[in-house]
Amino acid sequence: MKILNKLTISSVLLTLLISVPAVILFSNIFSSSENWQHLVDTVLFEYIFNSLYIMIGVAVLTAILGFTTAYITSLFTFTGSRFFHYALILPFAIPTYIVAYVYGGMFDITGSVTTFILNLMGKTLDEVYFFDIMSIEGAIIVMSLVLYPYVYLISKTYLNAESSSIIDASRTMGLSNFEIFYKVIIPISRPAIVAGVILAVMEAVADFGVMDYYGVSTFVTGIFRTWFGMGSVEDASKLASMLMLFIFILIFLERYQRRNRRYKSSGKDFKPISKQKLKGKKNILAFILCFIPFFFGFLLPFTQMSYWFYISYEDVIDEDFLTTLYQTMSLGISSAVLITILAFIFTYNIRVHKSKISENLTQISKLGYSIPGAVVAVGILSFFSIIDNKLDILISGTVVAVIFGYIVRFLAVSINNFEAGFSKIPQTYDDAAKTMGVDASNTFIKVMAPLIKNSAMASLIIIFIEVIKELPLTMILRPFNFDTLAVLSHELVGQAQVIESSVPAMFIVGLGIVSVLLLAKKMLKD
Amino acid sequence: MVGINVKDFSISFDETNILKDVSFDVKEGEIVTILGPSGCGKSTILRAIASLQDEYKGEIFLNEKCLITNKNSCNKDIGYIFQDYALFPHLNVKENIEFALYKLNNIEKQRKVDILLKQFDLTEHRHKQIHELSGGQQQRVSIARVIAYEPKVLLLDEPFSNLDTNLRNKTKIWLKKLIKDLGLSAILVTHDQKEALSMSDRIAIINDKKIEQFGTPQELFEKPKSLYIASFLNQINILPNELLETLDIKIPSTDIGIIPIDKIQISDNFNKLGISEIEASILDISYCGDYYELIVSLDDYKAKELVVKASCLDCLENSEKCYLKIKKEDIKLVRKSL
Amino acid sequence: MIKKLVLGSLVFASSIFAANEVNIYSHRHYDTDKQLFKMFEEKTGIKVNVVKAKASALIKRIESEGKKSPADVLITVDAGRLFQAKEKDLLQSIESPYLAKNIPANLRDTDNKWFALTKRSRVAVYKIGSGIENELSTYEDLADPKFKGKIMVRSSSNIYNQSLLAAMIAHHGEEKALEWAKGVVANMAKDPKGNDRYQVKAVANGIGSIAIANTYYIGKMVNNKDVSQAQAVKKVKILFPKFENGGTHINVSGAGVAKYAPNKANAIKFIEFLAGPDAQKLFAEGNFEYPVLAGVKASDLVSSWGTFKDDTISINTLGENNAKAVKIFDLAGWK
Repeated sequence: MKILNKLTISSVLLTLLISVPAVILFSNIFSSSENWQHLVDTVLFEYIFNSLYIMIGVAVLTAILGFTTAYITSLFTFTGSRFFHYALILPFAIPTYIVAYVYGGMFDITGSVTTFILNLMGKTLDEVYFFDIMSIEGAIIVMSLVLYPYVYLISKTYLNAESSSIIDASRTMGLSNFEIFYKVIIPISRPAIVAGVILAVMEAVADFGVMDYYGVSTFVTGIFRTWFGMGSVEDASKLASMLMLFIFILIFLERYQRRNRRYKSSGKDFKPISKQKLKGKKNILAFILCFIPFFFGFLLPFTQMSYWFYISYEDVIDEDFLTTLYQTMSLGISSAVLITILAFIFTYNIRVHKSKISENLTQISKLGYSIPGAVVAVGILSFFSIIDNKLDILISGTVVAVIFGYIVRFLAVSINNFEAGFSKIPQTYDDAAKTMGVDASNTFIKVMAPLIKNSAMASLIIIFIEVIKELPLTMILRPFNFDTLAVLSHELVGQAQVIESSVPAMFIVGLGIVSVLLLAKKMLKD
Repeated sequence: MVGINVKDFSISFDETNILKDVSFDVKEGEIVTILGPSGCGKSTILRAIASLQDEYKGEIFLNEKCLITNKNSCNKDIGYIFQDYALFPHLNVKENIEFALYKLNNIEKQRKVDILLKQFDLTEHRHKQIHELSGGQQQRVSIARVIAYEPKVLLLDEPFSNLDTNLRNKTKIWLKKLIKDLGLSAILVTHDQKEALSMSDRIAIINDKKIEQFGTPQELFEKPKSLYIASFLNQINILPNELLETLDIKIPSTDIGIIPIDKIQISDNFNKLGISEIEASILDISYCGDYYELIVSLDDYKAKELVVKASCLDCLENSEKCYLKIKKEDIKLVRKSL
Repeated sequence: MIKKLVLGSLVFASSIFAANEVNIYSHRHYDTDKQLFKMFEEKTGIKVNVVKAKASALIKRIESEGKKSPADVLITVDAGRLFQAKEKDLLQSIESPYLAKNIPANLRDTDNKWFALTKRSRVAVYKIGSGIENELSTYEDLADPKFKGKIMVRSSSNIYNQSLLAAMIAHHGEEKALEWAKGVVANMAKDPKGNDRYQVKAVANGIGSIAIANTYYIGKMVNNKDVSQAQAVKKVKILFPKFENGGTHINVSGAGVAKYAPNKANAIKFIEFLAGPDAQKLFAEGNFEYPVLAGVKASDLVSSWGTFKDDTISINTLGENNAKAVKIFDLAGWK
């Protein structure tokens, strides 16, 4: 009993701690100011419109890119299918803002590609209509190219667990492959597609780097603007709260219309889908459909970055850089470990207790993920300043504040991981252990731990990548002499040194690629 | 009415040959069962007939005219009932059945669906989600969905494996009636011999990558060609050659003598049974409800063990020794293997 | 649990290493600064700890940290932010004969709470051969319809633009400033995006004819590793506009000592160093800024651009009018 109580108590405490930034934010909704009226009159509508546009654009594009590729690589074998199986996740390794910088550098008015095409056509810029990538459409495209792996990964896992007889049955009823695709596979896969899209959209909507660079006004850029420009935390918080309202409505709508339908086949004799071999034209088509997202989402930006890295690394890599590298790695690893442990406590608590309270607490802790990093930072600053003053110590401005920020932001990700992992372990295992008289801690060590190992590993890897990629929160909360690779690359871009920014960026991407491939092996068991 | 012809069907998996030169036919309106142990490849035959299988050798004809391949399904006259029913989890009962009628307009569709719901006793369940149904109800939905588009041939993959025993008997009866009433030809695949015997017009038994025997249930049961067939369809005992000799049965070296276990008479008294009495010791007795199953060992024949059915236990006063009587005409000679 | 450990060790660590150091919160984002900090460390043995972020974030942070803030020096790239910091009572007056003597009075706070370290101007950049130099002479001209579709300027969320508009407000009042902003918006070749250098590149390549940029960026574009920047800057020239009733808009990058600075003496030394000849030379040569120390010349390149007269308004107004400027930008639709 003792252990159980401790678990619950620590979960409760933790949730309270994490909710504080959100609470502080929400408490600002009801304070009014003339500034707010001004915002409403001028820019609020634009923020809403743009944010909606981005949400819809990213939702549609990531759904198409992510699901088509998941479908093709799950149901068919074709030239390169084994390669694409893994390679299609690689965009995860590159932070969105870096791809934005790279594409900006390639496609803007003096970009490498632009110049190349102009030379080819023998014209100058004012003579030709050129798609301006630094626009809202450009931002949507760039973000979708980087975020589609969310949909891809979740859809693939889903399709792999789907029974093949459904497809066979459809075939015997006379449906063509294409008809099966949109009449059967898409409806059945809807939960997976929606789950992936929501993750992608949440990231797009919380983004600062890309929108700022491409000149797109959204809630998030507006938050930075009111906060910095008008000095009004209250108004910034209002904007932040409105943003989150959007997101909650989204999530709620999705849950509601999913309510009674199950999507999993409950057949006892489960045969996984066996892949069809493609030949001829279909083979080529499949290859192209997979190649396009891979090329634009990873290969092209990566190649450009490699070239830039090559011509500038000597200038950039010095002692300070290595310190930054070291700091980034240690921050990533320690955060990943800490968050994984905390998430595990949460989810294990739920499994052992099955208490409604614990479940609700978990939902609350998931709030953190939908709050943009910068906003979390504001909340934390305010929170810590209260603590600092009351307790007469200084926490803000130390690594503690930064790590706390990461916990608020990313705990949900780790929790999701563990929840999925636990759900695959039948309750009967726990029961069996119980009937054999094994006590709680031994059950854990001997039964749970080995089985949940995969989820823990996945969590460590995912959180690690997220932390080293994170930008706005780190920028605001970091202590003295403490830069991360992400912050450094952002600064270099800010100094119009896009080429040099590729050096820290490459390290992030390198670490990201390794992590992604490790993850892929786990998640995409063929 | 439509028939199926399978010629020289061979299939391999990962370079291992699973079936070789399997040939059989299904006449119009006939129910044929393919019987064999799990994993022998019988489902692949069904899949090939349903145009779901590529990479096999041999030919499959529908009505002797149309060659079925995985690209040509010969007018989609084939209906397939999957072992796990393959019902769409995101649609309810009505929608699942309607799915098969996607070519019809709305009014036609509604009319047909209502008829089918009624026919299969599913009207009150029509709005339920699949996961809310019992196994038997799910099976009815999967059959209704197939019957909806009026196939001429029905393929059933282990149709009874997911049902409770009570349900099985009922299902066997109405399924057979349904098939005959609709004039369909059907191919069943199963590993359960009782189902095969009661449902089929003809049975093909698969052993060692080929059809070992193909004939009516009576033929297979009463004139099994091999030990495998005999032991597959019935509980039998193998009799030692020495015993056969005492009964004046000449047995070639390729053959073996067998007798069904219920054809052996048993008594505790030397006198009760008359001639051909064999002495045996009782090793074990199991209660099987309507009879007892004994394992006995023949004292004079190197302690060969036999299984014997006895209808009563009191007729064996002495529960350690007994006397068996075997009639010569009940003994069959079968090949050891083909 | 774990947090307590981390906290404890941090507190412990900080008490051990409360050695000779100075803590800088800086918005400056230039390479040359790294060199400067090293120079200072070598010269004085005082360790320099830096946190870099946007000035307003730094200000917020110092505010939140309150009495316990470890900030010693706040450095910004804009006068407006210095003013804000002073308004929020985050800076303290310091006694420094050196600074009082060497920084011109109009470039430091009357209460000695902040000091300008470099000067920069916001100017018009135009393509050579386009004839703009004959048509443009004042900032007010930029709103003239004759320049429709010709102006490339960055977003209003950038502090440099906000200060320019703050100056416009100081010269002409809010109403006229709003009209002016609307006029400029109507003249924009494209919606604002990118930074100052982007505007220059655009104009060099035929998009728009007039780019608004800070002077030092032009310097940084010459000889830049990025070929596109180096080539672009060859095709353009700088024009120093002025206000109808004033001079050319200037802004400063400056520093002040935090109110609760734990290392006050070191902080003063640090600022004095930045105002000293070595640092000022580096600002001029290495970063193409205008030094504030008399006797230190601008670099040859910068001098070649021409001369101008500083605007007449006090740079304090840049901060005073900042909030109004942001509102006017919104009303004018300057994104």
